[in-house]
Amino acid sequence: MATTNPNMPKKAPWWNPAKFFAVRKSIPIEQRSYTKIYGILAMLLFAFTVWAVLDEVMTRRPWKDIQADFKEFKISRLKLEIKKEKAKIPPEVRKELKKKLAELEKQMSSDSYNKTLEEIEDIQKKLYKAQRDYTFAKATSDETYYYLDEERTSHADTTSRAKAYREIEKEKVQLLAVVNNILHQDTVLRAKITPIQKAYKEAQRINDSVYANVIALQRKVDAVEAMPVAVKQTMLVNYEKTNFNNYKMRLDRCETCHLSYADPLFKNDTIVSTDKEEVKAWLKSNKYNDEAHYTIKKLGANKDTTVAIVSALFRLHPNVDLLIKGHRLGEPPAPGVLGCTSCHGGQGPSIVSKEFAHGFQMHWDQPLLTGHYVEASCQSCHSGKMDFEGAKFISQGKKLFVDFGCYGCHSMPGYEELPGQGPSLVSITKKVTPEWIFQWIKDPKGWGKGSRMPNFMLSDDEAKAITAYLVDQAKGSTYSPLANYSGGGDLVRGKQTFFDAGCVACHTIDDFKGDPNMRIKEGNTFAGNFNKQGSKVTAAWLYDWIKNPKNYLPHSRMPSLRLTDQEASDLTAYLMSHTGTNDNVKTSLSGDISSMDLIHKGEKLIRSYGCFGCHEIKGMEKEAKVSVSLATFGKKTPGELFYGNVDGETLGKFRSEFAKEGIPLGEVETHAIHENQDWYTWIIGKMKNSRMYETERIPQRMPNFKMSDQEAFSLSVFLRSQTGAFVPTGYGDSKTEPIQVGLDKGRLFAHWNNCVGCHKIESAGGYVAKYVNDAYPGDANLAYFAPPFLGPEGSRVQEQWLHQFLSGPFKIRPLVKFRMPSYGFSDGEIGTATNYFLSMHKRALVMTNYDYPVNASLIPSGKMLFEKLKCLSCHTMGGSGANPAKAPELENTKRRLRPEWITRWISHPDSIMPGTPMTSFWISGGKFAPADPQILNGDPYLQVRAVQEYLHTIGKDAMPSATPYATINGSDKYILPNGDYEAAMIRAQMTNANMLMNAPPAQPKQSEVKSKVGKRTAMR
Amino acid sequence: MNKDSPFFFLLCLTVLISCSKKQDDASGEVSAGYKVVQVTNGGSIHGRVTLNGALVGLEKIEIQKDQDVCGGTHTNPALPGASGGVANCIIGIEKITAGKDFEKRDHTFDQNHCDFSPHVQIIPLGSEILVSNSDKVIHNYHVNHNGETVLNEAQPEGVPPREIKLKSSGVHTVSCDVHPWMRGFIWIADNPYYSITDTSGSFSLENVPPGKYKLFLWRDNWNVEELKNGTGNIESYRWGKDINQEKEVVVEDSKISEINFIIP
Amino acid sequence: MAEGLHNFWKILSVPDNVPIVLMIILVSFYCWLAYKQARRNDRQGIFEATQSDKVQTWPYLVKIEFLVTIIVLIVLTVWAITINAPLEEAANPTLTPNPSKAPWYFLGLQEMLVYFDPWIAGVMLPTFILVGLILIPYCDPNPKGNGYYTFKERPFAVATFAIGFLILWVLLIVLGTFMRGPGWYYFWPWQFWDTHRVVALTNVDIWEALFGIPSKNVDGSFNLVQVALGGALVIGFLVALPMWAWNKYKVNSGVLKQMGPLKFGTMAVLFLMMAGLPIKMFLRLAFNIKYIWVFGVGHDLFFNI
Repeated sequence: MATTNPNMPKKAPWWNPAKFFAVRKSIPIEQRSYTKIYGILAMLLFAFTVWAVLDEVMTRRPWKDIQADFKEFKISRLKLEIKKEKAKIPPEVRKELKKKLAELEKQMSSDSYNKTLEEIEDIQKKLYKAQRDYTFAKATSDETYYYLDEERTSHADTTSRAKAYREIEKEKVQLLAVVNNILHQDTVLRAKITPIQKAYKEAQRINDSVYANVIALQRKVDAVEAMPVAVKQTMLVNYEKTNFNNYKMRLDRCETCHLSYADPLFKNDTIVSTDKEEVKAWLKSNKYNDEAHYTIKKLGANKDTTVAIVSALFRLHPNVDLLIKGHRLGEPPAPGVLGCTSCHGGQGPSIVSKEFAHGFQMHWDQPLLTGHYVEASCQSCHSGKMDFEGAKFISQGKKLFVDFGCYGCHSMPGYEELPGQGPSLVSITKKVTPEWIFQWIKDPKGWGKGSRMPNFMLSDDEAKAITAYLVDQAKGSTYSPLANYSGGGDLVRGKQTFFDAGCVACHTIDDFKGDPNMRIKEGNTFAGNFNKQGSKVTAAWLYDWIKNPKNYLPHSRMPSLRLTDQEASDLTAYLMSHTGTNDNVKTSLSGDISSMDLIHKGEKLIRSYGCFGCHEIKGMEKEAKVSVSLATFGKKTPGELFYGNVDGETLGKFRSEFAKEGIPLGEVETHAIHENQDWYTWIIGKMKNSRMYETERIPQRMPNFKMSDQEAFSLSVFLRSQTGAFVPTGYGDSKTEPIQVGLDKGRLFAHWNNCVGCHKIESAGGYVAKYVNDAYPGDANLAYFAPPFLGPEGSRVQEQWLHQFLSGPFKIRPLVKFRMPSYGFSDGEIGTATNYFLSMHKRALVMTNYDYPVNASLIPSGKMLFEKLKCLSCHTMGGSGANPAKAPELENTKRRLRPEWITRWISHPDSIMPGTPMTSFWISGGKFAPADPQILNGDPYLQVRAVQEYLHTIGKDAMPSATPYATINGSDKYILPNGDYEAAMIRAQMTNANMLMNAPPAQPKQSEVKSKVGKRTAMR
Repeated sequence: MNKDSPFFFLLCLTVLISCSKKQDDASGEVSAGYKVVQVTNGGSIHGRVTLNGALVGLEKIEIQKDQDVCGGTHTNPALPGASGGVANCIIGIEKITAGKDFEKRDHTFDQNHCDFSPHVQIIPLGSEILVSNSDKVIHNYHVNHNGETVLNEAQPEGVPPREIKLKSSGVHTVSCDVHPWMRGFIWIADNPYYSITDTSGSFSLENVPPGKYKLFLWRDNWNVEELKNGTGNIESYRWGKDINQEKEVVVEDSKISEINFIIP
Repeated sequence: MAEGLHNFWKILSVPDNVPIVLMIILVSFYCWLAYKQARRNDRQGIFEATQSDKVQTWPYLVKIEFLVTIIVLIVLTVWAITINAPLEEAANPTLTPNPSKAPWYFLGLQEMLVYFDPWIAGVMLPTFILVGLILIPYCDPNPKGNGYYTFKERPFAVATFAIGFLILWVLLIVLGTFMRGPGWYYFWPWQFWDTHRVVALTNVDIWEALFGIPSKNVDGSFNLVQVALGGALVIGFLVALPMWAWNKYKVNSGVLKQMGPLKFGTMAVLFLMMAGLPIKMFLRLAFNIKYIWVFGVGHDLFFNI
């Protein structure tokens, strides 16, 4: 046993650790007390445990507050609605109802009424007692009778028993009388009060029906109050793939905070009003006491309208229609199908803080796509689409990617087969002078503002060398003009031809006053801008070119417009008259360019710059793309991007600039090590100045496209979409399913050949219409001038006819201002187009024979209707009829239109083609109705059918013959896409014949047609 | 009134109906639509539209179709009267957010002797128009609103009149594809401050809330040319551009403010 | 500079480096404590403890242990609340993070990879470490094996601990954590961890540096002179040196007598290997010496030392 040191104080002063420990040491272990220390530590541990719990349930669950907020907010909104509803009921009615109810209640609380009630109560008690007595008596009588009966059968003495029985029976009768008496009293009493009760019930019923809306809203309020505070989440099983390529569930908890995203109640997230008081009241009633909940704006010419806009958190999804209709999410849109993060990005499962949930933190590689960058997500599922409704920038970016020829140097999935964007240069010297080539490659945009050819920032020597090579490789060209320009031509007529022939659909001579966005104007900026054509090419070349483009460039997209010699020379004269000024061109070609070294130098340069990516150049047909693939560019991290010597400020400028433009760059997580070194800023910098990140050690060869802010932004949105992200089966557009493939190929085809310049095909197109409207204001036939809408083409025309038409177009609509050009499509291209049209209607390309036995009984009434409805006041039949003819020749319908189409079309043209000049004959007040009450006793279905049958009978069997590709020196030329001339018409007709032979005869069922019409009209 | 009278129930029912009706257009309240309010101290705008210079334009339009019904020629309905005042001009205030109520009346649009009558009319937004064809020939009303067909229905002879509704406000040009010279105009107004000039060319807007407004004038052009082809067949008729003018006007408390337009 | 230091602070303060910082402090503290106590202890000398000096484990020791348990619990709780788990992006087989680092306790081994071939740094040396640790008690002849701990009493043991643990283990972990940036390049605290940093690689093999003898001939075969020289040096270092020491000191060194040749040999080789690592590091860092001995057998077995 250790002895204690007596002269050491037992008390250890805690404020002085050294002394404290010294003292404690001096105390033998057995005697040291740990009570205090334990006490303190235990308390600490408890405290921290409590802290841990609070941290878990409060600090890390901010959404709880939001949900509470939301409840309060929604209830207040509902209350507001209730107020509105009440206000709708006229005060006198409300007063009346109230009065009536009140007064009835008064009656019901009167003494007499209550007294009666009490009496009824007493009666009830009495009744109960009386009824019991009666039943008991009855029971006893039964028993007695039983024994009586027993005695009878056993021949015993029954006198006493019989007596007892008689007595009890008597008593029974008396008791019954009592009961009935009481019951009678009861009814008498009740009769006193029932009318009042009835009246009250009725009044209540009326009251409820008048206030029905209010009551419904009140129920909603209760429901909201009952809403539990809980995490709301969407689970999408096997929705994505991990980096190790195995399936993974996606978990989106966005709804936990964004509670109102699908709540129609929050549609009005703004209040518009002329008086501020109303706005104030509204805000107050909506509990918007802090600015965080709303922003106030002044609108109107003299800023007299005040608008309060609710913060995004408590708002309806901006285009909830897109969610519902576009993405089959049902009503109300459940995110169950797509989730939120699949379009918006962000960290679905996280709800600990806004930053985490939106993925704005280090190491989360799909942060929220802010602003217009969310459009990038459309692309990941609909990779083949060219025009996205309501997603302007992704559509524009996609087109720019093609129009700028980006795919020429960068490989990109989906654009592999696309030929180079630029023209072939194999015969370049036959078209322009070396001098011009030199000036052009030095600074294309300087030469012509609308140019899409980028600037390679070549030195004079380099430009000279490249010119040298181009001139040299063109030596072998065999091109010589077939159509010879004899001079002459009239400028005024030329201008008219430029319009009438339809040049305006792709070309313009307008320089848009140097508008930086002129290259993304839809329509006439598609192809070359002619405001300096005169100083570029020779008249001889131009004449041959417009007469017959395939002669100079067998694979050109430029179609033949079947110009007559007169038209061609007028047009040539007109175009050559635009010489423009060359003030932008600084240097000029000097010295000899035929030296071998120069040519070799040029070849080297061309190989390193990859000119062959866009242009066909002799000796460089089989070159690989010169730059990196962009297939997964959208998910590059800042670390993978090279910023050269560009500092944060310079990059920062872009951010602020684009924010000013109203197209802010995407948000990024803020802990980045270098300021403004993020994906968005990098790509914008690259777009605006492609050599921006160049250092003396690391040269860059990408040419400068001198993009406008909008161009750069659109492209950045498109590139952002290139993440190579996995799309679960059944979500994205299929890449193999024929219909979808047909659609996607067709869309690219339609953009590539600028079909959309003249025709509206799906959601966009038909840009020439506006030029027509400007050119012929007030013309009574204006409606007939614009090229037709091709949406229905797939279910409108017969396949054979379409093939014939596309191989050699002929006139169908007499008044349409432009002529459908002859593209000289190959069978393959025609197939693509045909498939496109058919795919839009979920049809596969099947050659069908559309002949069928006519239902003769209908013909006479068909004829009657045909005449009565004056079809021939717009249409012609065998050339006779409307003069001038406005609408297609009816004899050709038999070989042109599908029979079932005719019925559908004439029964409701406007719903198929909104804005068609075709008159609806069978529509009355928006409903399907007989065009004539007498004929076919006014059965509209039969009437439509009859007209269709009649048209079939008057139809010609022969198909219009394909027009020649071009008429050169008086002789018609047909063409095959390989460039050599041949009688393609014969080929076309043969194919048609074969088709007809092989095709199985189809019998359109009358009932089917009828039901079709029926359905359509039922829907409308 | 007597509580138990059926009238009371009727009243309640009507209220019910009206409530449920209101429920529909409650959604529309976001847009700053026209508000009907009590205008007590409204002023009024009076004025006259006169023609400056000679009257150019065809008196008679030649017709080469359905002469049996339409006659050989056809007086140009757009021509203003000889009095110097220009009839059929629409005068109106476009941007006005609140004011008096629309006057309720029925609107008809007849096709008579191959012409639309009335030639020009103003119709409050959302109200029905009764379209009838009193000719012994088929007509179609091809309604065109800034360059786009919004409605195009045929009305063969003997088909009963039908009601149509035009959804967007502004001028709608109605033409007939069977008889290309036919041309009528329906102005769909989203506020009641519109008026058509009478034959003397004068107009008046009553009960206008005081304030500063842009007063505008619209009229269809009477200048028409017959586009004939080589054989003398009329291919089409081309009409001049519509006439549009605009003027500032200040309306004061229950005062009359004079303002005149001169064409061209 | 400023940016660099800022960056360095970031690196110090990221959650998963906090333990390393703690380790520096704790290791130094406990070393200091250990040596302090060792000195006191050695001064006392060994004494036989009597019954009266002993106390029961229960409750007197357990009491204190439980106290510590509570303290640890508290620390862990606070840590868990205040510092979030240091999660990074989802693992991606196609995308290696830069710098890609081993778990902190292996950073020493990873550091060795800079100076030796993988099979030496990753297989041979670790094996020797284990073997060495096992053998220590058998090789240690010191009679004062237990009870005495100061450097004066046990210079060899303490030196081994200092080099083997403090330098080759702790120090390398610290370096690997704080000084090795992108591309496993060496960064000073004031240098910014730049992903695109470029470092000149100008290492040559020692014989080329000294006498201009290349390790390989033009035809790719090993230069035998170099093989001989390198072999000589390595073997000399690992074999000749101990033998020479044995012959020189075996007569008048009690320790060597006690150990005998076998124990001494084993111990010496192990010790020299351990000492060899810092030497090699020094040569590399100071004189850009790549290898001392370049020699291979067949295609897969290389002695690049």
